[in-house]
Amino acid sequence: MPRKTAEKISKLTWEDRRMKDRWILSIFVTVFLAAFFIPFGQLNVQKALVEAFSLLQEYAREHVLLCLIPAFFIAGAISVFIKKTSVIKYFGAQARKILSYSVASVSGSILAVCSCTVLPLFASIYTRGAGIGPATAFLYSGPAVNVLAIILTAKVLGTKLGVARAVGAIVFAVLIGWIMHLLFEKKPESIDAKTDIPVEEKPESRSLWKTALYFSTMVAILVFINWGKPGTEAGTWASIYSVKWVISGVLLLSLAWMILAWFDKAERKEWTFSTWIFAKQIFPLLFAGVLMAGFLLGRPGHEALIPNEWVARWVGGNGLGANLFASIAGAFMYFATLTEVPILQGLLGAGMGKGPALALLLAGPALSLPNMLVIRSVIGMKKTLVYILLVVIMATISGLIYGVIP
Amino acid sequence: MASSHEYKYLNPDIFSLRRHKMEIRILGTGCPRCNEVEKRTMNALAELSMAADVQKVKDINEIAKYSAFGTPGLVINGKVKSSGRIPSLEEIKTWIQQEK
Repeated sequence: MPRKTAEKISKLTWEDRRMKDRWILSIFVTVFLAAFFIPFGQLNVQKALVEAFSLLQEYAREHVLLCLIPAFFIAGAISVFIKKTSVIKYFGAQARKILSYSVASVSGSILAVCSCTVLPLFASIYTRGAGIGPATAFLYSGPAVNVLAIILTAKVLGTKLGVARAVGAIVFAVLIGWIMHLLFEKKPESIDAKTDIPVEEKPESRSLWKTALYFSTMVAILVFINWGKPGTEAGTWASIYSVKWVISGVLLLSLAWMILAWFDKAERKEWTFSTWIFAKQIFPLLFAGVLMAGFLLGRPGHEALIPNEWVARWVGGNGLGANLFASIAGAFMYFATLTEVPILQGLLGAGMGKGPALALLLAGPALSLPNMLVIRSVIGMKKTLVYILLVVIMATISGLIYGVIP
Repeated sequence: MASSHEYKYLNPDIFSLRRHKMEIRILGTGCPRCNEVEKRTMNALAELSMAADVQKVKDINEIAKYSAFGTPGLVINGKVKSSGRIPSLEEIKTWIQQEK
């Protein structure tokens, strides 16, 4: 037996190292193949390369400092300062069903700051908690309603599409969950273990209003520093625009005061650290995603490797075909966290309709081929197929509805 | 893979702890936040000069068997100590000493 322990421990580090080496090797091979085969001499490839770096520059200049970095700080704060047990109790086996559904469809914003936490939570809700309905509702809306996704979608693709994404995800998540529940109602005896929600949280160190004020100040700062220049010179929006730096400055100072007065040193450290972990995880993916989107699709108004006619032919306009195609393509395609945004930006610029854009935004991050395999291992083949079908149908419907809204 | 002989040489204490072996499981699919919990757990064990059977649980269906909602999760001797957040080094040390 002692031998077994030793083997387990050595195996742990050994396997990690091997996985890491494999990962590095695959990057090497990819870069090598790209360097070997891409015809850099051709004019259209050169144009696409310039587009890739132009899009990267656009992100660096427009979105990183004022939008992404504050958003990461908010995400870090959510993961450190918001106590999750209050939300999680609605996922228990005994929770009231209506509450479970509504909480499941919106709680992704608190619980799933990064998409890697969505699947384990989904499995937990399904096997130990409220069952298939709330679990699938959470699975569908989680990737769409998390803070980072909403903020970046609204900033890059416009507030309307950002709001439509969140609302569409929440409404249709409830619907999908409810249909799944009707089709595959879990038998009572399968809920064997009375789910004991771990009560490990420390008692709240500051009152609720302080936490609320702290979060709303951060959100307000994000809103005001990104306040867009309005078309007209007069009106409230224009006058807010003219003083946006003053407002942001005042808010920033009050936030600094709150941080110093209400949080101790350890908490501040945890907050920055958590922000840093998100940044470390997501920035490289976003960097690669932006380059890729720029290389293939170009900035809005510029053509890159993929001709605009192709995009317009497949997902242009707001027909049933375009919406359905966008949903199906999105369901199978894998989007790393947040990379759906630059890709959508490229597609929209190349002539994609706004309906299909929403359909892709809803079906894309919620499902992917690797995702489907994991979901199948949790709920089985039949339920997974029905879920995929429901996602494609609902995303198509959302796209059709959004497409006709002026 | 290191043989048990090698391990004995590296850390003779590991077998004396067999009588009340501590089992630590880190739940998470391998994202940086889970790796951080693993790192802190290892540091906590090192600071307490203790050995334990530490394993990462990466399979989603295995994770769902614990009553932890949210990853990263930390389970010591079958008890879920934290989930959905990164506990501090001090917290982990306290829990390990509680379970000793």
